[in-house]
Order: sequence, then structure tokens, then C-alpha cells
Amino acid sequence: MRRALWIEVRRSSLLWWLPLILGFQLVMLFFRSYQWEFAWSEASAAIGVAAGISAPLVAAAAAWEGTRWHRSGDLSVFHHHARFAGAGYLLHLQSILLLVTVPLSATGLIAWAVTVSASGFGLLWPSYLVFALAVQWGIAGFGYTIGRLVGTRLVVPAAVLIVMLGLMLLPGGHPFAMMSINGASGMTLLPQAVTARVAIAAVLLALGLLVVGKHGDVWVRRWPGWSLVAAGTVVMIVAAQTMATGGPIHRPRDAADITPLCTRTAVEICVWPDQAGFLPELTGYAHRLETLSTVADVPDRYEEANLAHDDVATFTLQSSTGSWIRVTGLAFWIDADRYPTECSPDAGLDFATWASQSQQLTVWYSHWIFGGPPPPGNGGGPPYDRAAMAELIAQPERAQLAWAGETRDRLVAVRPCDADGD
Amino acid sequence: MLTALESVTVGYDRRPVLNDLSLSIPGGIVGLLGANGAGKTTLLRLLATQLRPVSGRVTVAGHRLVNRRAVRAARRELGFLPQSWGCHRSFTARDFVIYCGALRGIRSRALTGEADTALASVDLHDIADVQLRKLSGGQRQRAGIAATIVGKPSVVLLDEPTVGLDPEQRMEFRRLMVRLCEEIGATILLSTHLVEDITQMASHVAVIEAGDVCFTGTPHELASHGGSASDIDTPMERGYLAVRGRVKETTAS
Repeated sequence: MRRALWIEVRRSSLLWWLPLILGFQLVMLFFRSYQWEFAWSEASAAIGVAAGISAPLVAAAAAWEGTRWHRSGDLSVFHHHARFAGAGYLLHLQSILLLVTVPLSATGLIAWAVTVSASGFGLLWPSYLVFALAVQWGIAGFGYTIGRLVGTRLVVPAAVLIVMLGLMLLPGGHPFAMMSINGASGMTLLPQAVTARVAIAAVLLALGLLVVGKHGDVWVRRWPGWSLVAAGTVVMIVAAQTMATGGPIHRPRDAADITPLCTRTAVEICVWPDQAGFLPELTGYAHRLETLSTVADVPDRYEEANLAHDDVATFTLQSSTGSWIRVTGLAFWIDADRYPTECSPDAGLDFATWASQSQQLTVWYSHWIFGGPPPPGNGGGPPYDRAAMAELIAQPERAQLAWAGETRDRLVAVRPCDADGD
Repeated sequence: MLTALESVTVGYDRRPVLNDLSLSIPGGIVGLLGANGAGKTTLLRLLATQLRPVSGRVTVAGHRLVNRRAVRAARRELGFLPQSWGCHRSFTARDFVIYCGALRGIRSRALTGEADTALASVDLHDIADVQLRKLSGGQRQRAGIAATIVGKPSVVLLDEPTVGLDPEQRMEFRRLMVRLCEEIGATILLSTHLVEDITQMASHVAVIEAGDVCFTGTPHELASHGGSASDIDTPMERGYLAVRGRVKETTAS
């Protein structure tokens, strides 16, 4: 049957769709606003996002192929001499799945190569790839089924609309989502979330094969039996229930057996091994933190969230959050244990002014670690004196450090009481 | 190998089309004659395992069709080309023949050779890589025959294979059938309206009328039923009408 499968592949209309699907996936991969190539988990999730957003195209292509059985006249010549009933449909569906997997594989390969160049050798996360493949195959099965059932050309735009609706109503992270936008290294996909999608894809593909239409073989029961229908229904219900009750599709990753990857600096910043691509950036921050340690109490070690052990400063490291959020996370822990726990009613200034100055200092820590002002679109958060900050960071570094040391010493010396007396 | 129908009844929507019909198909080229609605296509579809009889026994290439296993075995020995057949438009003639051969279970190693042999048998080797939608009616029909005979089945069923062919193509087709019968040694059963098709190539004839067989024998025997000579009708045609007329008389009475 391999020859027949190869003929199906060579003559499939999907060959015309492939460049479009692949191009679309690559656009989704590379024109995102943040870089996924510094973490293997994020690269894996990015492949899934590219695949998920291309799902309407996959559905359209599969639906068009499904209508082929209605456009080609009496095809009983294909069926009644086949070794088993449905052989023709099986070959056809196999060719569709094979071709649908080609752009996904190419996208995965390209993402892998880009991540290797940015982060060194590593491997994509299989759970994200299986998730993406299950969604692609499930969507292909859905499109093929409705194409075989309906047979008119209108089924193609209908398939596109239905899948687009699904993408809009089930955003990434939703229990029924068709993709995972979040690829944080400290999180993993729930196994049951992946398994449920694999099961649903299997049922949709089986449905595509079981649609008998007008080419039924009279020597095979026309309907495969209520037992098969019941089994498929049970699988769908169990899968849907698993997805619905499972909540978000991620869970924290177990860090017990993980050896963190750390910057080789006096102030260590440690991340998951998958995030090796971020080390150059973090090394720069670590050096800036070291210079700060002359005027402030800087932690010796930072660890990425979920990796952190007790009494270790943590920060969030994700491409989607951007560099500025990373440095604010690092800045948050500076002098964290130095502020007085008891307030003083004779502090000499009101709490609001003290808090404002404290905020100004923390924001300056962020500027210092980052090496400049935040990128456009960043720099939100609690308010601070932006004009004063701009003036400050324009001064020589020695003057900035002197200001920081003086301000910090004053703030940690005494803390005014707030309106509640705390 | 035996191909036969024994007391077979089959119909559509509870209306019998073949009623207690018995017919044994000898080797060589067998022509199936009958008027529209006589049951020729139903008979062929029954032998092609596309229909199941309400009663009676069907044997194809020595396999009595009693269960799926027997049907599968019979299908391996069987080639069937319906009167109106479709194909995926993008397939070439070679694709079509290989595809049908693969579905029938011909092993990949032998498939290319068998397909080439089948295409050569119908003189399509030179245009085998042309898409079917670009072939003429006659060429397309030959491609269908090639797909039917790939793997050298022992029984070949053709439903009205000369419909839509011009006279020259029909003459070519008859020569092709005779050659195929000699080359592959298959039993070829073909239905037709056209008596001269039977005259020129069949070694045996069966005439169906109102769902039953009213004549089996050689073309010469059919012609002998025709009575006195006529300037317009051929002996075969008169014989054909005669055997059908007897049935009509019997039915009327």
C-alpha cells in the first residue's frame, strides 16, 4: 500500500496548501514581539502557537480533500476490490496527516536550529510537540470528516470559521485551548491535558474514516456498530471532562532533581538548564549587581521562580515579560531585609514621602541593573518622579552610586509610621 | 475456476431485479445481452460483490460468497469496471492502475511491472503519465480496463464498456478484448446493447430478459434462433429478438 499512499501524497491538493501553511507558521514564529529562542520550553511552546494559529488553514485543506470523494464520480471501483473496506479512505486520510505534519516538522526543525544557535545544543520539549501534533491531526480529522459528510465547496469556509471561532473562544491556557502560549521553563504541560487532546484527535480521525457515505461495502456492516459509537462518545466525554476539570493546562515543574544553571559571577543568577540562552543577558545584570553591592545589600544568589529553594531571592524569567520585568524582579530583593520592621513616629518625614523615596531608589536600582532607561512601552508600575530619574541617570555613575548610597542609608535608618501607626 | 449464479434473487427497495436466476459463466469472452432494465448491471454488480443476493448462491473464481473472507478472496481474483466510473482527477493513468493494484493487494515489488504490463496491454504505455482528465473517452476507457486487469485477475467484469466509443474505438476495443483474453487467460464477462460487439468477440452469449436468463450458448446458436433472412437485421439480432420474444410471450400468457 506504500505505493498507493505515495500516489495520494503526490497528487494531493494539500501540496498547494503546504507553502501557505508553512509560511503562516513561520510568520507566527518569527514575528512575535518577544524572543523564544533563549529557552527550550518557550521555543517548544512557540511551535505550538504557530501550529495552533494555522489550524484554520489545516481545517480548510482537509475539508477540501474530504470533498474529493464527492467530486470524482462513482468511486466504487476504488472500494470494492480493496483488501478491506475503507482502504481507500484510510490511504487518503494517511496522506492528509502526512502532509499536514510536514509544515509542523519544518517549523519545529527551524525553531530547533534557531534555539541551538542562541542557547547551545538542547532538545525541544516533547509534551509541547505532541500537543501541537494532536491539535493539527485533530483539526485535520475534523475538516476531513465534514468534507466527506457535506461534499460542497462551502464546507471549506465553514471549516475555517468554526476553527477560528474555537481559537477565539478558547485562548491559550484555557482548559480546552488549542495551543499553549505560556512556555515558562518552571512549568510543564499537564500530562492529562496532552493525553486528552491525543484522545480527541484519535476520535475525530476515526470519525473521518467511519463516515461511510455512498460508497459503503455491502459485505461490511454499513454502520460500524453502536459499540464503536459508544466507545468514541465515552472517550470524548472523558477527554472533555479531563480537560474541563484539569484547570489551566500547566503545572509547576518539579525542581528537586534539577541542577540550576548559574552565571559565573560573584552575584549568582540561576535559571533552569533550558534557559541557557538567557545567561549572557543575566551575566550582564549580575555584573551590574556586583557594583551595587558597594552601596546596597544585594543578595548573593537569585533563582528563577519555581526553581527557588528556601530563603533565595526569586525572579521571573520569561520571554513574554521582557527584560525590564526581569530587572525589576532582581531589584525588588535589594535591601529587602534591611528596612526597619518597627516604625518610628519621630522619623522626621511622613510615610508617603519615605515610601516615595524608597520607590524612587528601587526604580533607580532597576535602571542601574538594566544599564539605562526601560525600553518603550515598559516602565509602568508604581509611580515615581520620572523627571528626577532622567536627571539622575544622566549623571556619571560615581555620582549615581553616591546618591544611591546616601538615599539608602537614610531610608533604612528609620521608617516613619503610616496612618495606621504601622 | 467456476463463476456462477445459482437461483439468485436480488433487487432494490424490495423489488426483485434478478428473480431466481441461474447462470454459469464459462471461460473466454462472454457477452451479456439484454434490454435496458433487464438486469445486466445488477448481475455484474452481484458478481463484482457490490450487491448481496436475497437468496441463492454466488460463486466467483471458485469462491462461494458466503462471508467477508470469501468475498475478500474473490476480490483478489476479480476486476470490475462499472459503466460510469470516476477517478480522482489529478491521477495519471499509471497512478490509477497502480492505485487499484495496490488496493487489490498486489505487492509493491511486483506492482510497477504489473501496471506496466496492464498499460501495455491496452496500448496506453506511451501516455501513461498523462492525467486521466486529459485523455480522450477511448483512452480513458482503456485506462479503466488497465486498472481492471492489473495483476491478471481470473475474472474480468465490464459493464457497457463500449458506450461512448466511436466505431473505430469500438473496433479497437474488440481486438483488445480478444487479445487480453489470450494474454491473461481471464474469463471476461461484458454487458452490451450492441449485438455486433458480441458477434465479433464473444465465444459465449447470455441473454437476460425481465430478470432471468432466456438464452445461453454460442453466438452461432443465438443466430440460429433468428429464422429467415432479412435485409436489415443481422442473424444475431434476429436471434436476440427471437429469444426475448419467446420470454415475452410466456410472460404474457
